[in-house]
Amino acid sequence: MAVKAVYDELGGAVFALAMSVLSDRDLAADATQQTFLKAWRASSTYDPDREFRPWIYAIARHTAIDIYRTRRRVVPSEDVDSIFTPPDLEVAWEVFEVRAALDRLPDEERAVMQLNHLEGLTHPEIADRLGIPVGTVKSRSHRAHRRLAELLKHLNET
Amino acid sequence: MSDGYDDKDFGRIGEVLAKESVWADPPGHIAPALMAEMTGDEITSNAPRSGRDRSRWSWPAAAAFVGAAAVLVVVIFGGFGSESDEPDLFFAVTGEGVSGRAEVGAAEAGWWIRIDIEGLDPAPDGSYYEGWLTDGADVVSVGTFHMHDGKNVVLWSGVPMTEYPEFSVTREMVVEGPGPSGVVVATGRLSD
Repeated sequence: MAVKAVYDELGGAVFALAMSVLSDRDLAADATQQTFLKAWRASSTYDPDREFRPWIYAIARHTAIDIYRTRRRVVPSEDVDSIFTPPDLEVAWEVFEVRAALDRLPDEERAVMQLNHLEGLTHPEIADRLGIPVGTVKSRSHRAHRRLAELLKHLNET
Repeated sequence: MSDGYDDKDFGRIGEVLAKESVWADPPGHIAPALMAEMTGDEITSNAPRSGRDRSRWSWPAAAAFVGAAAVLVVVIFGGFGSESDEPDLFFAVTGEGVSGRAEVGAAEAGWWIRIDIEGLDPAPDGSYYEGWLTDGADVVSVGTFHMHDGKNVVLWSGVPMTEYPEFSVTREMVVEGPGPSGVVVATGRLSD
């Protein structure tokens, strides 16, 4: 797996995690870049018998928290709350895993999921937005939900 | 949902899918910047790797990281010339009350951009200058400086100016984020 492939597979998940912690695109971009550099430099600490995703997740989470703490130190405390919302660490792993799973979906299924779950559109509304038949939306939605349910079943088991 | 799955079936996943952060896409400059950083790290390590050093790349992606970096170096240096103190390219730098001449040359780990610049005041406390290259879409930082002493600046780039021909200098505040502030004090462009 080339570095570009590693980033292509998990860059979105790391960035989504960083966004959930930092709520700032520039800081999240910085956290994402730092995460992959740290992972690359710390490869000696990776045990190949363990799963790769939790390992890079831990690096990403620590990196995002470090950036958050640094920002708290340099921004006057009375302004912090107006700039940052407190990091939602409880959901960080779920955000990371869900995004990684979404990035494994075909683009057309992912688009339906985004319009459905993020924008709250109904199937007819999605069909109208994408210019495709409602039946196609339903089949894409069904396949996407089935794939996600399979990929993410471990989240609902915990 | 009417396709066999509902929010109850999806449990926590459905709640997470409604979060904006899950769908946020990383900016396009991260991948090239990452590759540039990795290439630089690899190339600047002059000492031969011992067997132990090599074995530390136990991460399955590690060998590929090195391979990808090596490929990138070949791509970067191909057609641009070998490492030299002599510049390969030149361009003018201008701004409000600012003028200068920039030279670009190849180095082991990327390219150096040497600028002889006039009219740029020393950066006040809490601020600094930062150089950027862009191809009109992606933006890559090439380093920071303060102008506290002298007028010669040397910046380093991991991306070729032949592909990122637009150069700019911004004034940045230490407490701000890592992206460009938008306060542009000088610009330049590599001529075709």
